[in-house]
Amino acid sequence: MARRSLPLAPPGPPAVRGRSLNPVARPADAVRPRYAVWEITLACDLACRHCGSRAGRARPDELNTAEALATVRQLAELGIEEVTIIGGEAYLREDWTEIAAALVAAGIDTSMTTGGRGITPERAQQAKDAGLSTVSVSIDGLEATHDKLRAVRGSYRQAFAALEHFKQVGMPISVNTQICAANLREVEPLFEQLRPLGIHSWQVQLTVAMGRAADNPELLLQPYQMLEVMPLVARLKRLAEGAGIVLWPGSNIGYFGPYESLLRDDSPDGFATSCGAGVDTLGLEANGDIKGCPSLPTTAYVGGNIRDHGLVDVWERADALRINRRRTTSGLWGYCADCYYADACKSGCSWTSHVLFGRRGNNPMCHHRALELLRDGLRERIVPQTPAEGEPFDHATFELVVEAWPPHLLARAQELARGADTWLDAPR
Amino acid sequence: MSAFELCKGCTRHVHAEQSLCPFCGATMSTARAAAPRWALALFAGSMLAATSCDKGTAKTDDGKVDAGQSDAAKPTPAKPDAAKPDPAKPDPAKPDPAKPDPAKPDPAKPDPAKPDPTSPPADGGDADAAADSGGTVEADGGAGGDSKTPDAGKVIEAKPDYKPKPKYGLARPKKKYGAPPKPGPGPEPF
Repeated sequence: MARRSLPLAPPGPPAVRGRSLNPVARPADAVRPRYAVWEITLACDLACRHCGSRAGRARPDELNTAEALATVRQLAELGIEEVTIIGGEAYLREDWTEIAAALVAAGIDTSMTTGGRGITPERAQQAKDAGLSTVSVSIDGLEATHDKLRAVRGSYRQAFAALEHFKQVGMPISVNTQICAANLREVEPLFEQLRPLGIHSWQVQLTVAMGRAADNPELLLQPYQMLEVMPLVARLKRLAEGAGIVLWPGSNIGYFGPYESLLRDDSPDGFATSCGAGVDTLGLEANGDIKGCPSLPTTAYVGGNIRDHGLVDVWERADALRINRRRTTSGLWGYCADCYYADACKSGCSWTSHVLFGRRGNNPMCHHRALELLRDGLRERIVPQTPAEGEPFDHATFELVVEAWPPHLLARAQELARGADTWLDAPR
Repeated sequence: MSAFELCKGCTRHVHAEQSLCPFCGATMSTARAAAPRWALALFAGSMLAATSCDKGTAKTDDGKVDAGQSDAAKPTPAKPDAAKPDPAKPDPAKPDPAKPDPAKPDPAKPDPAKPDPTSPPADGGDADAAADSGGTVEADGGAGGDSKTPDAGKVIEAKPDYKPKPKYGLARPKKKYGAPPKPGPGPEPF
């Protein structure tokens, strides 16, 4: 039996209540999200060092069962087609299967993302019986690195055991992995561990400077390392495809570099479009706070609470959910303001850029940008400036340093830019 | 939003109206170069003529003018201009995005006169402000960031070692965050 929480997680703050909405919806607000990620509890049995929501304890004011079931109805009314339930660990709510079954009964394709530590054969069967269409287990490197990142010894083996339990009950399984400074070299070896498991897909994304990750900046990749990351993801894509596994690069993997058409071959456009928060995506926190994307910082991006307003009303009339609906390039700044791809990209992932500088619109975690700076012999580094406050979905601030490439790394960087299969500090 | 073509030389997305790839200098084989003004004027003239005397212009079955029958509407050969890179500089067969080339004009290259990338813009023109202030700050940009140009990102040629899946006619990917796609038919029934 998994522990209900770990003592190092602070109690979460109360929900954001009383936010007012605009009086009327505009034509642009008729857009509807297809996909929602719903944190049904912040309780967690892991203590991940990169956890953006600082999960551990349940929030003090999480929705009760009746409120959660009412939320299910409102999600269906809004037109949501798919929901992923997350936590913390979703299964640490006593009523998690009831919520999941209600989502399924409402015609919503429902999945779960989990660290897998507390997945027993019984819980796997419960997931199956509730009607979850698939599960994704988080694995962040080889055993030692994963256990260190997840702050629980044995969590790597438990994650693999969870996959096996789900497989045994006939659940389609997949894996998600954060790419960070601690595991950059282990992601390809990890694939060799995943290959025989029978997963149907693998999502990879960058660790973002939110929550505990902001407290551990040594885990964060530097912007110039996109020169290493993107060829890596391209290699993973080809490896996965060869094994019949779909590789899904997360929304913060990009943008518009030479691998874009390879990595976004699922998109009708052949490239990643700009942030979809409040356009095709919705996020819910366990206390009923509503955001355009589950990852966005609470303070700046909660549009309202489901205890105060109907979900449709918040979706249509909250400023925080309207941020992308009539968006132009006018809010871009720094390098992104004048970028060749500004009109299409609009600085990519809002979450990734906001948590670095306190506002979105300038995203240094970009392959195109790293390549163009390299043309001038330059690179960018992020340096911690002010620490995070210690609450769920909070962030620090960082200074962006533009500097000349160190002479001993420049040639290697240029090799990487040409697509070489190497690392910046690989031995000669 | 801009439409892009994929460069055969370096697999970068290039604005569809550009005749040369700004990253490697390769000629964009199907670049839809902007028509010169004289051609537009000629085209406009031909349209006027079509409406006045219906001469020299084909019509479709429903009576609409088929611009494709007008000489003036034929694709105009792409012409490099001063703002585009010199095709003689880079070797399209060996794209080298890392090689600094100060003589090569590049619209994607950062402007030295650009303000400090860590500094917010002086005008504060960011729609994000709405989220913080509770007010509504929006540009009058119309459709917004999620609008799509139907032919955006048209693929001309894939990398030889990569077999792309068909892109057109597919629905936008359903899974955005964390949720994997439904598995296709496989050996193991679920």
